[in-house]
Amino acid sequence: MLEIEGLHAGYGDVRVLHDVTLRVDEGEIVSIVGANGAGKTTLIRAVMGTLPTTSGSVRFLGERLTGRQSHEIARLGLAQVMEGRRLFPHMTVEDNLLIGGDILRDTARQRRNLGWVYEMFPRLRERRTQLARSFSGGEQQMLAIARALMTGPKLLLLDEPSIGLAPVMVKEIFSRFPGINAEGVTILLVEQDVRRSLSLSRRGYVIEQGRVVLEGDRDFLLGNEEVKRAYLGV
Amino acid sequence: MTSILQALFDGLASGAIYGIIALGLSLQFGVMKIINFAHGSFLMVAMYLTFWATSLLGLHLLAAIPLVVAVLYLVGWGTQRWLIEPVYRKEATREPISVLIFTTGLWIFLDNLFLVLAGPDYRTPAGDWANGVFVLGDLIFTYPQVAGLVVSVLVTLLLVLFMRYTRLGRAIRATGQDREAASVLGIDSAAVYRTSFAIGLAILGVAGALLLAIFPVDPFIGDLFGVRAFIIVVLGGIGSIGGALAGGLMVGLIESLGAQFLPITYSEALIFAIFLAVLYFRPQGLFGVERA
Ligand SMILES: Nc1ncnc2c1ncn2[C@@H]1O[C@H](COP(=O)(O)OP(=O)(O)OP(=O)(O)O)[C@@H](O)[C@H]1O
Ligand SMILES: [Mg+2]
Repeated sequence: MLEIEGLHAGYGDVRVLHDVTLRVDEGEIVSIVGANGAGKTTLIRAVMGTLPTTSGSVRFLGERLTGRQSHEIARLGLAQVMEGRRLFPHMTVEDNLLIGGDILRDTARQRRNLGWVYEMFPRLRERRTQLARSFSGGEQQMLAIARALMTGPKLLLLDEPSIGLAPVMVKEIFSRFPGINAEGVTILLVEQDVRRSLSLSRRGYVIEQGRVVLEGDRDFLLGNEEVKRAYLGV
Repeated sequence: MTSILQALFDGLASGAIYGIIALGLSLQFGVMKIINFAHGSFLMVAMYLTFWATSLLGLHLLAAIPLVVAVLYLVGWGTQRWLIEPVYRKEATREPISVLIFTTGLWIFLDNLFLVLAGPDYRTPAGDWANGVFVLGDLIFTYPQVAGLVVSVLVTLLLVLFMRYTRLGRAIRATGQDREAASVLGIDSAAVYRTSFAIGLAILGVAGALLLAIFPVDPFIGDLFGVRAFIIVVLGGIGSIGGALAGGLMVGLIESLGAQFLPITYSEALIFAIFLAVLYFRPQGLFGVERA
């Protein structure tokens, strides 16, 4: 579904990603794990077109994404839950969600998706007329995920959904991912909470200093001595 | 007493027009974070277009409004697409300083272009509609004042409804609050910018026509009203639509009521003093939301 090959990207003269190759197949949950500053966000931004790539290719369902603008990429069926959530702070919860659905140009589908995400996160329905910025971190993260789902994505890119949240909240949010996946949404999950994210995933990639240093299925990675020592604190 | 009431009405009437002069500027600044220094000059262009529509085409001033609005919308779209966008794109990662310099250049260019095209003389609209009055006891309401008040409030209201309830309005608000977040949700921010700039100028088209009915145009009239629009945007709160109208009404009232008690230069100074005080104590403006 998503095929990244030999990708290089960075900020101006600072090169961050070096020759990254990875893929996500339809229906999977795949994790990308790595420490602070490893280049995880940079990778997601390069896929979504908010950061220009230097070389290499990104393909989605056979279409080339490199060189396209973010809004076009979003319209192909990719949605990103951005690091730091990035809600529209002066808008109500419902307006934040409707923006996500506007891409569909189909009011009936937009309504249906709204029902879907409200069912998934009932708290959002209760507070739908409130301003997004009045929310707690966990509620904001729910809203950010729900907003991305409103676009009806085929592939959902999640950038550190656990960051800054209390453990119960992390648990609650992660518990929704299998359900979302079962609805036909493929998930690429970027995380520092390695154990939790790998447990949910079928496969994973480990990124260090902008390179993929390890890849494999869940059990291989969770059993790997290197991963245990560096990320699982064993 | 009558003179106070009259001053009150006069202030509201010109203040409402000042409000919609500032509206487009506030919208552009709120959404694109660029300061359009050519705003006053575009107002001047709108006033001349209205003047020519009444004098050359023989249109009624109110009938000229849709025409002027259409032209200004297209001019705004084209300015954003072919002039500002290329400059903005080059600066995408830095502060858009060169856009500032560019709009300043545009301001000087337009003023001088119209000096050549229209000459240095003051112009007033053709036709005698602008001289018509309603008399109510001792109070006098001119047609342009009444039209200005009604149309300005209507335009403000329409813009509020548009921004709140339409898909495009939502896209404009979202882009203004977080461009990158909007673009990964499928919103084409370049298209939103073009539309926002165009809408800003279209509203200025209405304002220019209404203003011409109460104030003669010359090629440098934009300097006066441009500065005033900046003051109003800051008073009302950047990006706040209702705030622009409220700020405009405030300035209009200070001007007309001030003139009752103070020499004219004092009330002008008073406007600036209030402006500075607001900047100092409430930088988000009187009606603006605090920025996150
Ligand atoms: N806007 C930027 N300009 C310049 N360098 C940047 C920028 N954003 C990130 N970097 C650098 O790129 C490298 C990778 O950053 P990135 O944000 O992709 O890491 P990350 O894996 O997402 O980290 P975290 O887990 O902290 O979010 C870091 O060295 C960082 O300093
Ligand atoms: Mg990151």
